[in-house]
Amino acid sequence: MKLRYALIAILLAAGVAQSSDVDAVGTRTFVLDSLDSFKGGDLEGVTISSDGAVSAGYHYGNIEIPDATSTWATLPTATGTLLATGPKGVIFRVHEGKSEVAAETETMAITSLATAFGGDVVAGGFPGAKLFRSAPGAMTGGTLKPWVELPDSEDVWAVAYDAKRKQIFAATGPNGKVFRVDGKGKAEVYFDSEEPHIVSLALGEDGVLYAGSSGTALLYAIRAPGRARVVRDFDAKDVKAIAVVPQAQGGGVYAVANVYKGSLKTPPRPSTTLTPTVSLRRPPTTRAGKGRLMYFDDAGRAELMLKDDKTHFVSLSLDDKGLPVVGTGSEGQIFSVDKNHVKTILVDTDSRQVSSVSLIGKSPYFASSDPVAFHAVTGRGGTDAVWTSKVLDAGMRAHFGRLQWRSDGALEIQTRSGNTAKPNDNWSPWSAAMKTSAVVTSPSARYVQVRARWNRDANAVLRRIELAFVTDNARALLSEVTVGKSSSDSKKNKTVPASGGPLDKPSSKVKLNWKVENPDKDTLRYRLFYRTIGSNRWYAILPSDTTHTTTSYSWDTEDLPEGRYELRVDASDELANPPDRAWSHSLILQQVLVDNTPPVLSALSLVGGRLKGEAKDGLGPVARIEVAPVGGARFFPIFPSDGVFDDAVETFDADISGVVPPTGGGLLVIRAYDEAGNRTTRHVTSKR
Amino acid sequence: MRVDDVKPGMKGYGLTVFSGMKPQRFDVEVISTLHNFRPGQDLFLVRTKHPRLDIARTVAGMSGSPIYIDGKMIGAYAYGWLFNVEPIAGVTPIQNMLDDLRRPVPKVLAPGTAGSPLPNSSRSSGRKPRRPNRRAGIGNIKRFRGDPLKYDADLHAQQVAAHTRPILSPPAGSGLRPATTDVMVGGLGPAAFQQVTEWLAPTGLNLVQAGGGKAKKKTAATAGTSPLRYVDGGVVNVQLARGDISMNGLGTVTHVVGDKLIAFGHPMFNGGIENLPTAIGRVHWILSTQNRSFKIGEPVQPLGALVNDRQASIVVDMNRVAPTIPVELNIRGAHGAPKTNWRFEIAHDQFLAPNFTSLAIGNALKATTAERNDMTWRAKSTVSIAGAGDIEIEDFGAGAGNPIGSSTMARARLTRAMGAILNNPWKMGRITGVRVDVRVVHRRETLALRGAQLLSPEIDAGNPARVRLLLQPHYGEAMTRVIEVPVPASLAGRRLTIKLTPGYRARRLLPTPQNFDDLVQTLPNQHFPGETIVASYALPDEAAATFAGQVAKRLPPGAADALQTTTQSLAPRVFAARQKIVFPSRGYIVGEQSVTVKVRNVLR
Repeated sequence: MKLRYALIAILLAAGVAQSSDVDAVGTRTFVLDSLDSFKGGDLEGVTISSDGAVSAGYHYGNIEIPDATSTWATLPTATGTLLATGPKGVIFRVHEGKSEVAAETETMAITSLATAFGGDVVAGGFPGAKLFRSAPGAMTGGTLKPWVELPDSEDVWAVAYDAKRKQIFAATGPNGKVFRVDGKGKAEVYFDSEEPHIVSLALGEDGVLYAGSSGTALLYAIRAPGRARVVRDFDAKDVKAIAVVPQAQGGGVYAVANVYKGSLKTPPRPSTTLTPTVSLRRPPTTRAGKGRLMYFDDAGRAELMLKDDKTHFVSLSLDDKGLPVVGTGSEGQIFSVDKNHVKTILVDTDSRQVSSVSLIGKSPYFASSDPVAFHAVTGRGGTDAVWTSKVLDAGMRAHFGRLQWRSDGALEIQTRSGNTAKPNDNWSPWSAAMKTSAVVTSPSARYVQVRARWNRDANAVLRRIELAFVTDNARALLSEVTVGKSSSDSKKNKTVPASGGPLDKPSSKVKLNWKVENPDKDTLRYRLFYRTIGSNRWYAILPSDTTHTTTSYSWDTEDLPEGRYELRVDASDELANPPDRAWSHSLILQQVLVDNTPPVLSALSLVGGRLKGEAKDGLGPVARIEVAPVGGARFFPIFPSDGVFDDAVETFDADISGVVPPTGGGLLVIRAYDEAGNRTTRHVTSKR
Repeated sequence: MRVDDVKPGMKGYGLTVFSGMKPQRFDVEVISTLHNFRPGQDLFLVRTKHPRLDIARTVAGMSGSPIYIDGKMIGAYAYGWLFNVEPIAGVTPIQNMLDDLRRPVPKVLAPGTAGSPLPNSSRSSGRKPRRPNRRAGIGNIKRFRGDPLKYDADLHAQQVAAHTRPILSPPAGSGLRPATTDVMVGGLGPAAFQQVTEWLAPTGLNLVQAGGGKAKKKTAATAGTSPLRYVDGGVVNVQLARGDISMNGLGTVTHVVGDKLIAFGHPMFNGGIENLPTAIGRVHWILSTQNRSFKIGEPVQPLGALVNDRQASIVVDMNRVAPTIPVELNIRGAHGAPKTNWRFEIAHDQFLAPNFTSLAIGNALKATTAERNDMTWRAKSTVSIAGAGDIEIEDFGAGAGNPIGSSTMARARLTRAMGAILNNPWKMGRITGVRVDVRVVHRRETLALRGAQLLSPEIDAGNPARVRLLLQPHYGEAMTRVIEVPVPASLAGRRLTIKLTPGYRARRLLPTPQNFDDLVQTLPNQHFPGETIVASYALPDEAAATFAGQVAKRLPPGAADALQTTTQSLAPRVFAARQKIVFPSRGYIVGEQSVTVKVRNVLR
């Protein structure tokens, strides 16, 4: 059986509502049990590990240094901790909770600091490839004069002091050299690479100097002047930092390698209009890159410890156990990684970068950049530790049920809710603290937050949170029903193909598609019906025991009699709601015609080049008439006598002398189509 | 005499110089009084009676001539009407002029004080004088508004004119002659005169081609031959330039009060506090025209300084000496030229000094080197700056047929440098002298860069790229030259596009000046030497940065990342790094070329 249809349909909607005091869908649950689900909110004083454990973390102070924009290195000294900064090449000292200028240099940035030669501070910076040297106590705010100016170089990126040999190494650019400088300031090239910059240095207990390059990101092990071995060729842009693990803690080397994103513009002309030098309205040209942390054991075996495609790493140090701690370059966080590759977010600052971190000894600290601040770690765990979840979105107004959590140790949990994506004054206040699993008292709302406090057990570990909720049951609404291979096909079929063009092969399969708006996204069941025009009785297309949940159906009309039909689609959320709370919605598609009979050609004659006859179809208009000589390569369309294919019966009287041979006697093929593509074929012989 | 006491029909006289240096009387009769002619200022209408004025009617240069009724000074002859058929003039009341005289003037008029806003005098305003603005000179009407490193003489003239034109112009359709000051110009050729007219006419100055006079500082030789003091009705000149090239604003002294005088009866620039040199002058003749007649004259004896330029008058202090910039120009190579050494002084003014210097130098060069054949000129200018030493500026040009002129010099680096020194956010520098040595050759020493060819399209890492340049002299056979552009080994595996640019077009990487000293250091170094060719290529993954006088030319990406900030707008500028290598060229390169070379990894 074949189908033809008219899509001048009028869609009639009929809503069938079931009233209920409380409309509801199925119960769902927010589950937080992984690093990704726990992070994203406020991590004040907590740490989160990659295996989904939230613990009380570090507490730290905050000393802002607004006269600098970047921190490059730090160095604890007897007179306080020194911060090497940019963009004015100032070394700040932080002592007893205050910062002061320890020394100025005529550079853009001091990049590196080291204690050397019996307690002096040696600093390197750029531009100028200068080393500065001073006793810490003599750094009282004045301008340091260069101690050594390294030849054939423009920048110093790192320094490392060899206490055994009383010499300091300086990594430089842009010619990729490492210099060795003795206590008298005599400098000589220790290693000359083919890279443009050597940007990181670390000295091993065995005297091996590890150097990281920028360019093709090589990690070198330099054992003697000019004798270097490439430990690793990273697929990155630089080896930003290196840390050598003491043999007492297992030995080996950690190295950070980065890939940077963003492009740089051409240099501007100097200007003296005293406008800001950079525009903060534009996004920074350097964006979050990708960071890798690798470990190399003493045998040279490499192990990828940490991989992050959302940020690069800008600092690296070791904790008391010899495990790596890295500072990130885009979100201002500090990560640690253990031997089992469990990553833990130790600190989450408000700065863009954590440029230096030292969590060992009696005075742990870290320093951040953009903006610059010094943070002395004051303790770990305790009542100040608060974890606040990201905003959890139920999609629409939700009624919250029981909140359960799993933790090692006692915690207090609170919730709050609101109807804006960002918490504000319209949100509810934080609820009373829950000490055990309980029903949430925060009012119904679309958004909810959960927070945990470590005020009962500083060593507690939060591992999982579940929060049950049920959203309002919103009625699903059908918005469109179409017939065709797809929704787009149905639009195409609204016009008859041009004369001479191909026609689809007739098929009894009808593709039904419909669209539905389902705000609460509960599962919908669809029912399909048809009836003939003028009838009041609907017949189900689907068997009653079939649960159809998709928005399309292939309807086989082969057994249907010819005629005009209406189609109805019902959508119901009964699968997700109790019967008394379920909603449904219906949509009717009118004027679907089922046609299985081809047109009939009669009264055919072909005399003197004129073809006459009649085409007649059962239900629909004749769509096309065409002729061709037998054996001809193509058919030629002819028009009906009234010029328009718009009736079930069309007569024709056409001059086809250009198609038939003028001498007569030729055999001609005539074909007629209806709109459903049903086709009939006749032959006629031409006469003079 | 008070304004209300002046009645129509009252008769009196005025004083002005018709010829020579001695003021003569002319009769006047009051016609009426125009109230509120200017804000807070009335104007008397008078009819003048004198055989010369019956012909000349209204005369520019008589501005300031004192008018007396019943033996009492009522004001100064100041305004006239275009195409006047009667000798009718407008007289600025003396009271307004005396108010200007009483306005306070800073004790020290160092460069930078000009145009500073000052309070009204306590007498005229009834208020206690406030302290002068400590930032005097910063933001006055003559200061160039724009980036000093992009100083533009034409734009500066437009800015000054935009400020002065509404003040000096009469109401539209009134027919009233603008309160312009006639400037006697001497020593300028037609092109320079046209240039200076374009600059100054919109600012309220009316240029008149005249002689420059021989006004010099008083010496024993001149003692006794020149008047020692200004007199009421005598000639006063505001000397914008003097020497081999001169420009003098000519007017009449209204009244001498002690060591000061008031003159003009209208403003010159209306610039407030000024510090421009003045001189006693003489009048050759009154040139009568149907449009507007004017005095033609010249300075005789420098004396005093214009210290206040207000709506009703200019104020001259005879005890002050205004700073000037001595300029010496030496021209070599103009064989047979009768005059190759030019000396003149320019008023030390933010607007006038750079413009007039370029004008005067251009004028002198054109007068000395005018030639219809090819010519190449090289100018090395030494600008001496008080407290900042000397800087050397290089200018050059090559072409055919009178390539040098005032318009050329207006865009010269010397002009731009002087403009920057005098117009910057930090201070108005004191230029103590300018010496310009110009060498001229009568051929066009240019080399057109017709092509560039890589001798080897691929090079090993660490080896230089050898580029053969095809250079076409203006006359003669084309020549080739091979330059070796060093390429760092770290660029192995890359393709480098080497751009070849004339040195004078290639900018050096410089930091943004942070203070006046930085600016002075920046001025002579913005470009590479003129007779060079610069090969440059991008350094992939590397950055450069400038900040606070520092330049970092090659930074690794990690350092660029650290330098940038999202929280402070005053931070280093970070941008893509380029390597630039300079090669001397014998002549000025014209055109640019580029070649692309592949740098091979060396695996052996």
